[in-house]
Amino acid sequence: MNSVFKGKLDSNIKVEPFKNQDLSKPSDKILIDQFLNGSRGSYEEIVQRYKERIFGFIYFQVKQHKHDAEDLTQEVFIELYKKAAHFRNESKFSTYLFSIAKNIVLNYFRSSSRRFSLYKIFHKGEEEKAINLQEQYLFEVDQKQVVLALNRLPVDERQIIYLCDKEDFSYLQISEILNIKVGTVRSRLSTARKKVISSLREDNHEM
Amino acid sequence: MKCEDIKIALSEFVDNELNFNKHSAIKEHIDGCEQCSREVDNLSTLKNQLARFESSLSSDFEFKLHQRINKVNHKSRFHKFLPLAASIILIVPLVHYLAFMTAVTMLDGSIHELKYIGKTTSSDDEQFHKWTQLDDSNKKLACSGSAAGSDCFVEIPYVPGV
Repeated sequence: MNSVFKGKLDSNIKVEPFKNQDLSKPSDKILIDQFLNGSRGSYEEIVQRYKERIFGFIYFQVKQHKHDAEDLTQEVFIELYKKAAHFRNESKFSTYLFSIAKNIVLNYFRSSSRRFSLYKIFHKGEEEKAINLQEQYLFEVDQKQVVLALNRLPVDERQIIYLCDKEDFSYLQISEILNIKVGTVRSRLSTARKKVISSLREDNHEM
Repeated sequence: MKCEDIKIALSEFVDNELNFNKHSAIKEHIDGCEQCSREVDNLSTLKNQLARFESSLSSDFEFKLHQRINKVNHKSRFHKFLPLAASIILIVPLVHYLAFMTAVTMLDGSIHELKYIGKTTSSDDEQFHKWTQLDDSNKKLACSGSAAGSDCFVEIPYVPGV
């Protein structure tokens, strides 16, 4: 069986989801406490820390529709603004915030599946073209294929792959975000990856 | 270990989610198995491709968020006063109804509205006399007495709906 990837594995690339966190800065928990005591600046600091990560997660889930992704990202931070007091220190703040994002994305898909959409009618089959090559894939054509293959997955599998591979959350953290068992994370992730690799094989006619 | 047993755990192997013993056993197998090694390469490459996935927010993201939060604040302030406003809307007509209806009485077979105009005091004799000289023939003055502290009303024929 041949590799579905043309390029060599780049072992120098490391996922650094927390690279923006600086130990000299106040922790998320401190910022949330300050916000609950009336500090709007602390809330804005939280937005600064997480806006790109949350947007990236949502952008990936909604198949690179930027306008919808930004709108939903704003909803996540509005939800945080209204319900910050619900955050308990039992889990990491990032886990809590991503679970809000997950729910908002699921609601988006539920409501959009019920909604009559002229856009869907006129753009049927053109979804894959929504990806902006110039914006996203200057450096790697293979990445486009990977993203297109991932876009064919159901949303729950897309979420799990993104949280693991892009955000580098542990299986335990993913189970907290998605509110599922660790065993389900394990099996769903494995199944999703098999589907993607199989889809890439078909695209490349390398059966 | 057989390839079939290994393949089930390859995803966890790539994610570094296995314990040391299992991880070592799989590593040993992969080193000697080209097929499983290639599968690990595929999984790792997929992982790395996604790790490089880029996205960027529009520059006006925070401005728009700020606007939406202000709307939320405005709404929440409105919601805070909503019960009070609802109470006022319900209570004011009730009070008015009670006050108004008690001031309607039957006089000479017709309904008269009694509009309270005040109490007389010892120094109000002049005022009292002014009230008794009402120009409107439809209105009559009704006082409980001319002594100080008497309640005085103007009787106005009651026309429903006016």
